[in-house]
Amino acid sequence: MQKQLLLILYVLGLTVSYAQTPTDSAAELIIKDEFYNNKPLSEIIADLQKKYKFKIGYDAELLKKYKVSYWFDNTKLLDGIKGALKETKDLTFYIDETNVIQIVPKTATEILKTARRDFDTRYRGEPTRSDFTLMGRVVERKTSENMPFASVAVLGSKIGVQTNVDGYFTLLKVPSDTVTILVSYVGYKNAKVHLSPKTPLENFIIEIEPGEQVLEEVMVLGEKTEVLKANEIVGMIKMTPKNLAKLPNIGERDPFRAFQLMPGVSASNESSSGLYVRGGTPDQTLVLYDGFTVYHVDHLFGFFSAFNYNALKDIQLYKGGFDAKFGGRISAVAEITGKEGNKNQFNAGADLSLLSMNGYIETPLSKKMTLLVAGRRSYKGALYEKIFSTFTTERQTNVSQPGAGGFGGRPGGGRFGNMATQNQTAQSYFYDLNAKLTWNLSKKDIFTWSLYNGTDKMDNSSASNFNFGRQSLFGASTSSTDVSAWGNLGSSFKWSRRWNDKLYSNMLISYSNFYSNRDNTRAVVNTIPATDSTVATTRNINIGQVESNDLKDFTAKIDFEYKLTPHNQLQFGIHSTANTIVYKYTQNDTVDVLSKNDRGVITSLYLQDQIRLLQTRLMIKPGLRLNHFDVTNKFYFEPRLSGTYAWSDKIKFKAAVGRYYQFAKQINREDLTQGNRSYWLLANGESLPVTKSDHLILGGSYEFKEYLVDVEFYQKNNVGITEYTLRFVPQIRQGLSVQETFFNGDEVVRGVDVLLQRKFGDFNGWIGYTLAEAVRKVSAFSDRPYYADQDVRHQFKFIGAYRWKNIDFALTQIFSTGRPYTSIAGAYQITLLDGSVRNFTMPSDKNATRFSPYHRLDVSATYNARWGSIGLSFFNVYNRKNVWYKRFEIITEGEESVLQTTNVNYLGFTPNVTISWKLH
Amino acid sequence: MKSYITSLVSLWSMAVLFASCTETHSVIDANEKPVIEAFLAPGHPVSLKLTTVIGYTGEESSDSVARPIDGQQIQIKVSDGSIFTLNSVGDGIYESKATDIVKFGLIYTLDFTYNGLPISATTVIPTRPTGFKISKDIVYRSKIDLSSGTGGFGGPGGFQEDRTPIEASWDNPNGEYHFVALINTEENPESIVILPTDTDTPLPPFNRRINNEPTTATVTNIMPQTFQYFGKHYAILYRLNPDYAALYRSTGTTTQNISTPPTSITNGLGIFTGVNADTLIVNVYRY
Repeated sequence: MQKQLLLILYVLGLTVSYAQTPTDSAAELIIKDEFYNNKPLSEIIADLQKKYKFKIGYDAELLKKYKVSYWFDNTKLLDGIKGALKETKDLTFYIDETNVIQIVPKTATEILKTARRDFDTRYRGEPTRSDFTLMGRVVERKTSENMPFASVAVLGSKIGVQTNVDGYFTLLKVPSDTVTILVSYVGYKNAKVHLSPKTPLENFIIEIEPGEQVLEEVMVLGEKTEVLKANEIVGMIKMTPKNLAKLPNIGERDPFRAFQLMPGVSASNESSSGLYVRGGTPDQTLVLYDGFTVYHVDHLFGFFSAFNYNALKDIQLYKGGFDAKFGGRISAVAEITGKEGNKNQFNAGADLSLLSMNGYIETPLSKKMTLLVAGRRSYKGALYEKIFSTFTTERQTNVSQPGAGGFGGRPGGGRFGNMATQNQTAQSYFYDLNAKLTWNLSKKDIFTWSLYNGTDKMDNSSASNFNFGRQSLFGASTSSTDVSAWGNLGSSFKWSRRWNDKLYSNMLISYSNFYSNRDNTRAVVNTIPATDSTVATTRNINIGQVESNDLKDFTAKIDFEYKLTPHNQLQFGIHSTANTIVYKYTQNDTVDVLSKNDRGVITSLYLQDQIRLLQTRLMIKPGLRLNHFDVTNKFYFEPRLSGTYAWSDKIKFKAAVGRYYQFAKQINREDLTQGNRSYWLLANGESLPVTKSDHLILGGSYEFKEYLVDVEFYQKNNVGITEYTLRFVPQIRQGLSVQETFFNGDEVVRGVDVLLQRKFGDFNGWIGYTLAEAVRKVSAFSDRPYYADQDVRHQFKFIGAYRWKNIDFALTQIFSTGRPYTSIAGAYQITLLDGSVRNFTMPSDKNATRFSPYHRLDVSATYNARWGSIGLSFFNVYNRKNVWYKRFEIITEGEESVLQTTNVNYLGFTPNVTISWKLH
Repeated sequence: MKSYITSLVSLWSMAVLFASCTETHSVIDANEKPVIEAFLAPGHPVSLKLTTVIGYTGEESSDSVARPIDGQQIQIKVSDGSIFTLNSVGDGIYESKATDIVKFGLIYTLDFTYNGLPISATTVIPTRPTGFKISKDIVYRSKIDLSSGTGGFGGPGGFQEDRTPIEASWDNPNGEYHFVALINTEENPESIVILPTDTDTPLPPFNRRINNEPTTATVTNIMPQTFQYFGKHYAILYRLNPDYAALYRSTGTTTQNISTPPTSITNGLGIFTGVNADTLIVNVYRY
């Protein structure tokens, strides 16, 4: 069965390749006198084609098996073929939309069904219009949602475009109104629409519906380039979140974790769901959600990303060499489009996993307005506890117990409960909410309002109350606060307008706020009752650290698309972003250890031209982006150029060069004991330079049968990268200056991404391999270059999916070289004044050691039903102990102190069940 | 004979190869730095502890230990021009004979050579803290016997149990660092809590936090529950230099955050700092 299906798909592939040269009257052709005696059918067809100059679609290998005797005697070609095929019993034919005869096995029922439908619906009269402009929209059949970035092409011609972010397309110079339009979109069935003289040329709606293909949601663009000439972008991956359910998951179906399964995106950081793209760090990836920037994408210590797949429609990830439209980041761009909601009827759905609850509603509010609301919240189940405890093992201070006679440790005394009542509230959760309101005011205007809010909170506080007697006359309470909260609030308001058939504009204003606070203090409230001579007094004392980071982003953008000709499209626009970033680190109520209050405005202009040359074989995109950053009061000029060249239908070459600047950077601290692991700062041109990156990408792809091979080489030269450390604090005093904790240098990243994908069939999937290195040179750390924290030499990924009846099986295997880390050269102890002993470690050479390789296997099975699905997943099946970091402890035995090394590991074997329900 | 020569040659060439692979560093190997621990307080003899660091080779079964360094010629120069030497008394301890050499306001400079490197450090003795008060000097506690293994919780809190914290306060016009330590002075102190003998369960993390940290405030609270022994205690208020407070800055012991606290010691590690103190007495009585 599987073989046959492959055969059909192969035939389909041939169909497509022949479809480009239609011969309208081939079927009517008269063959005067040709006699074939017991010859392979393939030879007969080849001979006829040669002599009579027409095309027939067929698989030569298949037809070779059939020997046929037939005499063409003033026979119409179509009748002759009919007669010849009769002898074979197995074969049949149909005429495709470009009037080419296609010979296929009779078992290819699906193709034949579609072909018959096509044949029936095709308009067979004479065209009445030619060289016209067709404008319209691509929507999903069930919900009528607009589909962004879908490919729209005129079958059998070189004309093709991509829908814009609102699903609109404009095809210029359509040759006639009897052609067929083909629409394709990842995760959806290709849609063919036959034009007729009655077809409206404006507001033409094309509906597409979800496909059954397993795992087709992740595909490298260029995959279907024989048909579509539109989506050819270097280093881009596109995903439809709706099919994420088919991949293994633990608790949440995470689009960012799915991207990590592609080559070039690191998959070995369980403690960050951010995208480490091609040797870059997550802060170097621009994450746009409905047009606004999301600055922090982690939930639950990075185990999940902040994006709820129920609220997402489309995600595109550019791994480098991206368009002039995007700026402010040096590594990659993830452009996320949220769902608008069902325009036809009310719908609702819910997911329940061992980790969280997730629900959404989508509904039309009026004929022109739709609303979608999606929310989720974690609950404290076993799975949550397991992940939580894995990532919080280090949240304790490291102090040895004092020796006999000493004093100091073990405060609170709550364990020996006769002293006081103690409440420890170790509480932790995350939630997020997405809402989107879409208003199609007219055929030309769409207004969209989108909101995202997500927060993680962890409260590890404890409180003790001491009440004296029933009347609580005397009292005191101490409370240890250890509260961390971080999250995002973002919103955008967008007005899209189609001015005419050539000009489209998007105006957007947005607000985005990332906040991260950690309060690790001990408050002591002391009440002394009134006596005869004194009045009652209350004193508050706070001891400990408070850290907060608050980033606000106000952005206004205007983007235009202007079609000059069918093969030349201009994109230009103005972006302006005002950032205020406050970072504060306070100790013991009063002392500001580090305090920064940054403000900056980045104003950018860009212009990009997309040109198709050499009969659309060559596509080039020269672009320019000019930024002004008011903090340095300098202009930053970003020239960019990318292009693809289709050598043949199967072989394609691609390349990109460009310059990229980054103004807001995240200082990454992987360490949990230090509170939140990252905070944002704005470059100031001096101690924190603006980061510059030059990209070069060269690649190619080759398609054969159902396989795709894609290879891309890349190199990035980064200047002005920043590392944070408290290692070299030179002076002992109360505050720290920025210059003492940030160190700058350069970096070179290079590598190659290889993808081998099997696109079709019941069994499909891909193998990804990345060979890369990221070498940094920061003189403060070492006079020699060293490997960056995120450097991974080899990374291998295998993703396989199999569909059996209603069940999708999936398996992912990841193997990755261990990350580099800084080990210790030694340790020592100091006895403090209260007799307690404190341990200290000394760093060895920066990142000179590597952890053992990271690998794991995940499997899943998903049963699909009309009402939803049930998914069973197993994470880290063989319970590999992947090292997250190492802990060093000094163990004192008698007189001797010995160093002990402990590996702190990532998550072990973890099962999960997810039940999904949907109304429609 | 021929094979003998061959193996000799190959051994030699391997040795050369290895030797040429050895990289030379201009920086001092951290393991060569000595660890110094010295608190200079007026009215006390100077005592300095000198040890090696606990080296780390990266092997799991590393048995490195901190070894005492004895027999060094250690001098301390005082800003009034005087110089005194510390005598090595064994176990890495060096002591001064006189008790009156540390005086507030003077600058003390440590100076000696170890492993061919000059080790030096400078500190100033802070002024004596003033205005040290505690809200009460007697605390009543009951004996808690958990050895019977009945678990971590005793009976209900009795009326007699003292739960009002001791508030310690002092003057601090210049915002200097202060720190209160409590030291039991009994020769054979009697433990308040008799711990269960079969205690496998580790104490919850919040119990291990250091209650007192150097503070620039003027007040701190001492919970009666923090006392572990009956008897006489010194409540010592230290006035400190910032380098002592730096020891309390979160320092890492994992590969995510390895760092050494800043120190005033050149070519060495640890602490060499002046402190000044005022002492009061707190008695813990058995109820």
